[in-house]
This record gives sequence, C-alpha cells and structure tokens, in this order.
Amino acid sequence: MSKYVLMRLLQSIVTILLVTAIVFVVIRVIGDPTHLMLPPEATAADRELLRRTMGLDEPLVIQYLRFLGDLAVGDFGLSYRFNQPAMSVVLERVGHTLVLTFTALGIAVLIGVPIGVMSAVYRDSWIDLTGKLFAIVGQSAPPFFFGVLMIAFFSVHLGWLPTGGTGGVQYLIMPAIALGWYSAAGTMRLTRASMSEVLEAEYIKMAKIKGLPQRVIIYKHALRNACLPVITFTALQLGVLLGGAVSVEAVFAWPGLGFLILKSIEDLDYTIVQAAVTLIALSFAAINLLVDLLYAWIDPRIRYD
Amino acid sequence: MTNAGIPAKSRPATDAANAARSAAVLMVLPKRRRQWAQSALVSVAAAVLALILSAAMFPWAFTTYEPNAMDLMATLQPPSFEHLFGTDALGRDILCRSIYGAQISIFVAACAVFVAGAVGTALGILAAYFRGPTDAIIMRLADVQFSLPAVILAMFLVGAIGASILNLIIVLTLANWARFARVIRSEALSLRTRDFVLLAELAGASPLRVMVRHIAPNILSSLIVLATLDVGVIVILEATLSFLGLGIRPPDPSLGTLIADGRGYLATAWWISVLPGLVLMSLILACNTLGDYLRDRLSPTLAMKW
Repeated sequence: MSKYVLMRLLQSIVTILLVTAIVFVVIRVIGDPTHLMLPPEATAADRELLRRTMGLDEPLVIQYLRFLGDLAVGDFGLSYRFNQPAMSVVLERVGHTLVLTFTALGIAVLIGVPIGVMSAVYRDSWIDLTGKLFAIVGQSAPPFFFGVLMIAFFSVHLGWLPTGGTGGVQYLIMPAIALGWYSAAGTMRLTRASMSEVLEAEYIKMAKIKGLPQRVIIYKHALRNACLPVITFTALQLGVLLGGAVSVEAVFAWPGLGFLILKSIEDLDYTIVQAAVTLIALSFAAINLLVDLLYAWIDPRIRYD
Repeated sequence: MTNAGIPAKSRPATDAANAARSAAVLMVLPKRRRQWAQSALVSVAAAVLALILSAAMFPWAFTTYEPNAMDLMATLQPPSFEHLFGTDALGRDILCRSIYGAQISIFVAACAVFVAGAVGTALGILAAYFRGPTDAIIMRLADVQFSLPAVILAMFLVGAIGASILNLIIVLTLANWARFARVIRSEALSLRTRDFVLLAELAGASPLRVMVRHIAPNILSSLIVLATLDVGVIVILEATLSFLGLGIRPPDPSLGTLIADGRGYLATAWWISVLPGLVLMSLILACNTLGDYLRDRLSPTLAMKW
C-alpha cells in the first residue's frame, strides 16, 4: 500500500509541475505582461526598464523557477484591476463558487440517485422510460441555456425569482438547478447501471429467498454495494460542475471564480487568471489523488497492479 | 424451485416479496412495445440530425434570407410565416442565423472530434505498445488535461491565443484528446498480449505495422462509439465558449452567440435566445441518442469506462 501511495503521490506532483509549467509558458511567452501594465504611449526604454525590474529578461528556466518559488508561498503578483494580491482576490470568490457547486451537487445526488434506483428496480417500466428521457434531456441541455430558459420563465414571465446577483436563498435556486440538472442526469444513469448489475448478484437472490422485505433488499443490500462507483462519479463530478459553473455564473452574474476568470480574460488581467487556474488545477489533482487512494484502500486489487 | 428447503416462517415474507415483484411486473412494458419505443426514439433522433445537417449543408434550400442582412423595418418581429423564428433587434432573420450558426457549430465540432480522436488514438496506441517512458509521458500529459475542467482550460487557451475558428478547433482538441487516449490505451493494452499480435511480432512485423495493421483495426468500433458520444460534448463546449464571447465572434452567428445576443430581450422578444437554443438542444439530443444507440450495439463494455 505504501508503495502505491508513494507512486500515486509522485504522479500527482509531476502532473502539478506540468500544469504550472504550461500555465507559465502560455501566460509569459504568448502574452507580454508589460503591454498591459504600461500606458500605450510608453517608450521602448520604459518597457525595457519594466521588463528588467520584473525579471522578464532572464532565461525562461530561471523565470519558471522563480515563479514556482512564488507559487509555493501563494504569491501570484498584484492584480492591476483590483490593486490587490491576485490570490486574495481569487480566494474571496472561491466561497461563492463552492456554495454554488455543492448545492448543485446536492441537487444532482438528491434527484439522480432515487430516480436511478427506481429505474433499476422497475426496469423497462414507465418509470424507467421517464427516467431515461429525463437523463437524455438533462445531458443535452447546456447549463447556460437551461439558465436562460429559467430566467425567461421564472424571473421575467412569472417574476418569482431574481434574474441574478447574490443575496438570500432566492438568488441561489436557479443557478444551482441549472448547474445540477446536467450532473443529475449522469448520476441517474450511473446509479441505474450500477444498481442493475448489483441486483443480478447471488446475494440479492439469497436475500430474496430469505424473504427480506423489498425495501431492505434495495436500500440495505443493493444500494450500499452499488454506491461505490456513484461516489467516485460524484467526486469527479465536482470538476465538471466547476467548469459548468463558469457559464452559469456568467448567466446569473454570480460573483464566483468562473465569472472572475471570464472577466479577467476579457480585461487581460493575467495575474488573476494564473492564480485561479493554478488553484483549480491543484484542488483537482488533490481530489483525483484522494479518490484513487480511497479506492485503493477499499479495493486491495488496485494496489497490486 | 420449491419452497421445501426454506424455513416455514419466512414464507409469508416471501409472498410479500412476490407480491411486490408482481406489482413491479405490472408496470413493465411488453417487450415489443419497449423495442418499439427504443427504435422510435432512435429514428426520431436520426431524422432530427438529418434535418439539421441538411439545413447546415444546403442553407439556401431552407431560407431565403442572409444571416447578416439587417432589415430595420422589421425589427423584433415575433415568429410568423415570413420569419418562422422571428427577427432580432436589427431585423435579422433568426431562423436563417440559426441555420448558419448550426453550420459553424457542426463544422467546428466535427473537426475537433476528428482531430482529437486521431491524436488521442495515436497516442493511446503508442503508449500501450511501447509502455515504459513513452507511456508515462503520454499519460502524465493526459493527467494535465484532466486536471482542469474542459471549459476553464479552453477559456484559458482562447484567452491566450485569441478567438478564431482555427484556434477554436485547436483549443477544443487540446481540451478533449485525453479521453480518447485513456480508453484506447486500455483497449490496446489488452490487445497487445493477444496471440495474433505476438505472432505478428514473431513473424518480424515492424512496430509501426503491428500498431497500424493489427491493433488499430481492432479498436475501430470503440473509437467510433467514443467519437459519436463526444460530438455532443464538444458541441456543448463550443456553444459555451461562444456564449461567453470566447468562441465565434459576432457578427458571425453561432448557436452560442445567438443565445447570448437575446439575453437582453428575454422580456420583450424571447424567441431571439430560446429558438436557437432549442435548435442547439435538439442537435445535442440527436447526437447523444445516436451515440448511446451505437454504444449499445457496437461496444457494450464501453459503458462503464466512459
């Protein structure tokens, strides 16, 4: 086990180093930050001076190592738009995005798992067909369009909910549903597939022969064994949600990380983009690592691969 | 099987379970009707896709308007026989713009899926064939792609290299090749140990020949299924980028930009956003339905890997 953990940890470190290298190259090589920081009338000499003070005249490798050093202490430089350290601007927004993604995840699980279970138990019934339809439509509706539809109906037509911004729960409802719907469809399909497989197992037949009530068979015997892939999927779904959150945040003017990245790309505020992308990649690598380790801990076969 | 071996006290409960099961049986549709429902769904999906594709390929047969032609005498018209999808604030015909938008979306998605599929498959086979360092390098690169949500990776790259149709295809490929590489690698790994591959090597076939002639043909059906299922994902990704203003640039229409254009008019002219959005949804719906169908028919084992 310790060998597996070590290998997997090493892999994650390599991945993170690669991600930071790519972020660094894309931002430093393709875009010259001095163009953004100086007024257009600045002379070439001014630019050269700034380049030297920022250390942009040194070899790329040295620059990358310095970037890594700064990264280790969370220093991504100042955001010229906010005139604050980029990382603190990013961290201020993380909370909003986490509230949105976790609510969406909750909605996905609360809708997806029960419908998935019912579809598997009553296979090929009208429940199953309705569930399938729900899943297909869910996976075909881009979250941003679903959001636009909801605004048109619930905010503009009925006037029940605010079109965007933050505040009380009423601001959270539509963005969370728009975002969660897409994942609910996936959760439902996976729950159904995994439940159907488990329901075929010998020990379920045994439980039926023993005469256990159906409720106990389904929830205690089957669902517990079927939920492992669903849990993994849900954990990995966080990433999909984080990506989808960008467009949903833009639709509902939700002041989260995705909205911040979008605005920063538009305003060429690259210190923010760099900080946010690195933060997301780090948390992602951490989630992937945790899921893998958890899996290896639960299922010994994986460790000996 | 009889109840002889079961303790008597459990019999009533078994009956209860049987009753529950027969209640379930009542709700099950007859097999013929089930198959009918399935094939009806697939036929509808195929018809919808055919309609959208032919409109995208031969727009002149479906609309007499120009996508960017303004008509200031007919702004914000609701859907009518003259303008089936209505007009926007500049009097442009929404149906016409949706058709040209679908054309660009489909073109970009098809190119991106093709390139990502080709690159991902090649790298997946290379990784599986050579193992060792080659495998490690390719798979770490795949990890990099997986460590960022596709939308954020694509936004980041578009922000750096600028938005154009070619750049969009490049970015969508970079944000999407690793899925192919992972699945194809695992398929190729198991093919690698099969007798016909080992025999081909014994007979002196070069690595290239083994990979192209012996491994590649055997992963074709998985590749087709992966690619079909991927089209819907890429169409959503492209529409998201365009919606966010990082994809196709106005005045050129794309389904994503059309939806974004109409956001300010939801109260007065809902059709500007909603109708192109429904076209987008039908396109994705048709692709996903056909992809699922192909997967069930060609490669059922892929379901769990995807």
